[in-house]
Amino acid sequence: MCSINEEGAEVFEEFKPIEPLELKCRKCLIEDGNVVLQKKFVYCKTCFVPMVTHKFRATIGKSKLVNRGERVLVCVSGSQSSISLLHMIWTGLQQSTYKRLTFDPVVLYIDESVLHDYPQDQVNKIKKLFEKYGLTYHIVKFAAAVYSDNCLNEDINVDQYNDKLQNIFNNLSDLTLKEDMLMKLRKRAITKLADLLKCTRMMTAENEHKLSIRLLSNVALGRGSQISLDIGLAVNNKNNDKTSLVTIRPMRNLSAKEISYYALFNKLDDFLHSNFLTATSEDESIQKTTERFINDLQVNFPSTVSTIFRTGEKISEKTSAIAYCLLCQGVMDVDMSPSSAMEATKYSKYVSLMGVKALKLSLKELKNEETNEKKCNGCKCRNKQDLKEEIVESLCYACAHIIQDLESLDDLPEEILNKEKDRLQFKKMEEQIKDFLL
Amino acid sequence: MPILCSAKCGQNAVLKRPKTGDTLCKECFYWAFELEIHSTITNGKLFKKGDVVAIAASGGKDSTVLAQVLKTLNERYNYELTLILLSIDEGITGYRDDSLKTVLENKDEYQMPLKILSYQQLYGWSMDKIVAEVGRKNNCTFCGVFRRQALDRGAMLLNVDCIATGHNADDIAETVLMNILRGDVARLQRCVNIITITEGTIPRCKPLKYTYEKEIVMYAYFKKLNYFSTECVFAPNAYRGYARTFLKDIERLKPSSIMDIIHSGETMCIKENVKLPDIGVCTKCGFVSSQDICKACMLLEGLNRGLPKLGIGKSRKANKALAALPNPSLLHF
Repeated sequence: MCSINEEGAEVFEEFKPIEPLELKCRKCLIEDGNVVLQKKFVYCKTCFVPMVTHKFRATIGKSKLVNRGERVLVCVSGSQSSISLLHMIWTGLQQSTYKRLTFDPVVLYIDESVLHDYPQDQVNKIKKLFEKYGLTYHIVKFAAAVYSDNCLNEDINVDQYNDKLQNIFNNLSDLTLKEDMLMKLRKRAITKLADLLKCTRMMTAENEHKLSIRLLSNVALGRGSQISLDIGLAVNNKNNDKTSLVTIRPMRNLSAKEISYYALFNKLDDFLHSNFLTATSEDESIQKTTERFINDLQVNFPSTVSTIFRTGEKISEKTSAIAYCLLCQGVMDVDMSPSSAMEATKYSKYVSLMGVKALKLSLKELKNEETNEKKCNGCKCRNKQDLKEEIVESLCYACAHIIQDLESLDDLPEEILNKEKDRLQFKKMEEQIKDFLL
Repeated sequence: MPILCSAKCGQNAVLKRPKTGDTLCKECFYWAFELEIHSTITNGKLFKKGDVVAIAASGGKDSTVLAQVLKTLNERYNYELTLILLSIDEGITGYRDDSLKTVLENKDEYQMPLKILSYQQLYGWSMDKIVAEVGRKNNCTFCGVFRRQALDRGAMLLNVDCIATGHNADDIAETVLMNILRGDVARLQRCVNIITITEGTIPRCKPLKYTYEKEIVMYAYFKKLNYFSTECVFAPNAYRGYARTFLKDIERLKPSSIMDIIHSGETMCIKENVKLPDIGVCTKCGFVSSQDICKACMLLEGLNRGLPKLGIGKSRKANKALAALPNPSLLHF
């Protein structure tokens, strides 16, 4: 099958290299071109910007999800993509009546300076930018958004929360899991803020390139069942009624290059936006390895990103899902048949510990044996281990990996711990009455 | 200080399992390795008592280990299977002729009957001849398509109930990645199945589906199994190679990645409104195909008519080209 792609590459090689300077814009045929897309399409500046804006507007329009006057949370991280998103929305609001965007944007910037080093005046600069656009905006500290329900109040003391947040990440040794955890906590924070700000829609600025990388690293992390959640155009959170929060990704049909040129032509400055992978080497985390892999392939096979992206569009969430992960709110994917990768891994672990004895004992008996051992030396550290095992039961496959790597659960948001307590309580009740349930 | 075997057998450990990171002694590793495959077979219900099973044997490490393990388990746990080795001779000088020698040795060692089918017999073309015609590019398409069908034909000849192939966990994870990269949603769904049953064909199963390639090598190494390991002379397999390197890179970062990818593949669902190809039969040869004329017949027709590029690429284009040829009725199979 590989050979088919080789054939495709051959066709590309045959394509004569063009000299963009001599070519006119393919749209207006008057102006000289300024941009070359996909190695062959030449655009001038005046035609390029509307083309990009149109793609963005079409993506929102097609979704048919944003109603007149609806409050939409616009998430701005400071990256080029998000600054361009903000600019496009603002431009859309200035248009003449029939083209005007009619929703009510609420701009959100989450200040993550507690985790990464940012220039000191960055928040002020962002504030200035938001004020220039004259849109409603909120700047919230990350730690406050994760831990406090009162995070919109600017005066709250975030020091204790900052410590907790830093502890979580310091307790995770693996860079891959650190970044995965950051993504999940960020999503939690945004979801919570959308709720507090009474927004029913939220927009994030991921482009095609970023989403393809996310798709493939999700597969590598065991999050295959959650792909549509993480890259889909419109993702509903759980209950399908009108008040539930829907994530919209209006930039998903734009390439990284298109966005860069949009920002360049509109003279948009972007801001430093770090994560745990910034300035790390490519062979330290799965996400970065995936990024390099896709970038390298893209050079030789220019359709790589869009193919991955289109594949992702055809993958959906399990419709029959009843349970959701406590941490990432994705579909629970741990209820597998005995013949599955998950059970096979468990069995591997088990036979490595039991050796020949594995034949006689079953998995359950091993667990019993372990719990008996634990009871013998019931010190506190054992209890902690128990809590971990219990919380893992309400997590999806990939989130369970994160929590298993986490040394202490104390710094998790209280919301999660409380929910887990409720679940345990409920389980106990069920246990007590189970003989009488019909 | 020597490290003790984690199965608490009292022996010193000689290896660290690539899959779980546990340290094991030789004996406990054999047990773990074999028991895992046993559990894969029983949980996946791969065989029924009394089945006749053809082991697709290439002489490489995967199929050699598969033959050895199936024989061991069959005797130890009374599967009551009749095992037969089935080899396909593609006719590649300097590669397949050597590996078939290994299969012949295996046959004597394991006391199993062996059936060899060759491309020359089945199609009238050996790979050497095909490469002379097609060139170094795209010849893997011929080899892959023909082998798939050749295995089916061989299995039918032998009248077996099931074909067992040596695909390991690395292969499956790699295929999941490949199908995403190629946008092949239908195969993405199918490739993680441990047993593939299509109407009109013999079921195929992959008993080594959850076994790491590294552990297969380890098993063969400690058991001193005789296997053949040389790259095919025609294939520095371009595109798949990228996926393979990527997989190795992430396995180094996190050994469980291979299982994580398979888990992803097993839990992914395809949207309901996505159109998947219909499975039918080839109008020429009667084997399973999603097109009117199957790929193997298309490729063969191209070869026989001196148009080797005919079947490569989109089937639609090939059909058009075929219709444009004079005397389409001359198609003979």
